[in-house]
Amino acid sequence: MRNLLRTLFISLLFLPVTAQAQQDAETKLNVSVDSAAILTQTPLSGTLHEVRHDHLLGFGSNNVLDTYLSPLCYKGFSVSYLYRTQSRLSRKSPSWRIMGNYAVDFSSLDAPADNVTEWDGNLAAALILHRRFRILPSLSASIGPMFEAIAGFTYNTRNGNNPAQGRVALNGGVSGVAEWHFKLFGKHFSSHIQVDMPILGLMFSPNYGQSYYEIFSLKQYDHNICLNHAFKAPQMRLLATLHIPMWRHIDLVCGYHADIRQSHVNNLKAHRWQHQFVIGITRSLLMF
Amino acid sequence: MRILLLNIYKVCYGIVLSTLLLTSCVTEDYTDNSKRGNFETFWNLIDQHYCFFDYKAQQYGLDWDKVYSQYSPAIKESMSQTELFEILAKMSYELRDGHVNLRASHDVARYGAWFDDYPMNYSDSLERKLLGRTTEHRQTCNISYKVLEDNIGYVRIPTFETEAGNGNLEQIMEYLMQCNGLIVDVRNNGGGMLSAAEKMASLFVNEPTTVAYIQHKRGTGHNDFSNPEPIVLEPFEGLRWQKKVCVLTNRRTYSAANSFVMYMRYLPQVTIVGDVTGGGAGLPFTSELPNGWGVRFSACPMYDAKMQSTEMGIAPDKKVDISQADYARSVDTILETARDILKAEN
Repeated sequence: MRNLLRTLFISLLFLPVTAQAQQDAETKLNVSVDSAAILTQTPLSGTLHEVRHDHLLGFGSNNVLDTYLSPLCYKGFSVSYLYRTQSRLSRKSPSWRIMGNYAVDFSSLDAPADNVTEWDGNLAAALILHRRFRILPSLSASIGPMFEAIAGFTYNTRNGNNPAQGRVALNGGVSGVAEWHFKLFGKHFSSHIQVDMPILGLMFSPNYGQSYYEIFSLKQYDHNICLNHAFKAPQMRLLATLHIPMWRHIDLVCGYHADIRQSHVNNLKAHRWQHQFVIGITRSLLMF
Repeated sequence: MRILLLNIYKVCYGIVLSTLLLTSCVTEDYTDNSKRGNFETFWNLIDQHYCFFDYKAQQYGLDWDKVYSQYSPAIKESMSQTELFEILAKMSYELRDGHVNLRASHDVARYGAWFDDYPMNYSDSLERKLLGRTTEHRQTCNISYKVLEDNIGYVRIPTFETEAGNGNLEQIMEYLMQCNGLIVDVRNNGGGMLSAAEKMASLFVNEPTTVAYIQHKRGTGHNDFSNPEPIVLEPFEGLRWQKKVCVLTNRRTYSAANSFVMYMRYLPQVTIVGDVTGGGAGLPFTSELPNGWGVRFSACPMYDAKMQSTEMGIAPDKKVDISQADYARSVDTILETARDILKAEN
């Protein structure tokens, strides 16, 4: 994961340099009626704005640790569906955009000895508010707050009285997007890097040796709503995509999705490191 | 504008950099699948999660650090998996706990002295003689029951792995309601679900009753426990038994069945008859070793209504053994003693 974070850091560091190299594209992009031009800070029209929907399927690997269930890391195959929608916040503030991210994923994981299976599944919904800045005509960056809700589970097929871990979390954090538009083979491509970083949140967790029998049958609670923050357990979601124009308002999208979730509460450690190749479409609609 | 952008980038870099510098990946260091690694993982798992160290130190001088020193020199990388299993199994036996198991594909290590060293006090043949042929007694949800010839109700519960529904229990109570007394036989009941034991015990209380306490570990230290929280039995919604009850026990009355006896022992109309129960008062958790062997251990200690541990068993109110002569005469002495108690109290 450190390598991943290092890559992210280097990417952010070199964004302005990359943008400078693409100044050639700026004039042409500004005059073309497509999503690339519309997504820049100044809208083409005072009334038109773009609503964008991304539908992505992800396939990749997942590495799950939950010391409530096992001290070992389980690894396996994961699939996910991501839906991202974004639009202008209001007519009066065209540089503010609102984004909704929704994801569902499922993983089948095996113990290192390959004799036990864990199933892991999650639902996540995030609301993000972005202020867009145009750094160069072909490059824009957005940053803003994010709020997300996550519900999930990990089920271990061998364990008895501690067979599963339930997850519910509410997080607040920072989100950023860098968008780079460029022309290749006469067509307008774009690439996007979105980084969501929960900073502070509340999560459900049983206590270190607390059984679900105590929580659910006896209704006995013991510090089960915990504070989780980035400096105790860093979390991050990264979605880097290349948008290839296919039809007038539809782009083919492919890219990389990393979902790094961690917690260290009640003396229980947990991580879920998911890396996926994603493919899908983006549909852009011009709205009044 | 440039200053604003610069500031925004500074904030982004600050967050990413500080996260990189001040935090690390959340992971665990149990990854070595060597013989030594599995030994260390096993010892650490028990050391950090097992819940009866202090109690057993008082009972028979258990010292888990000493167990490490004693068995560690025997660990060699050249040893076979079977030899490693035998050493770890012997370590687990030091805990004298039937809830501590080591599960490999070729064997399950289980401590059995808690019943092996004592009389059986139970016989299939005697049970068959009592219940008669299949058509001579009723059975639902693994519970067999009938009215004995002296108008004593008999309920045989061989396991709590099945939880009877409210309708099932109501039917049983309705069938036995004319009896002068009730015998609940949980001999050789190795346990199951605590909720099944609670539901059965709820037939015998008329108001919410604190029958036990439970606590759990809050950290890795041997004494990192939460405060004991009460287990309160709510009365069964429907028919409840109001007359005298005898609960039959033997050394194989274990785990959830031991908890059932623990719930019942202080109720005024209840007499425990038979042998000391097997114990098993720690709710077990499961974990594993890097080589894939499963480990089960007691994680949440339970206490009776007077905060007494029942991990090593519950002494009966009336201690009775079935002698060899009784077996030879096909007499279930424990059952007959219970019948005498119930008849005498009527």
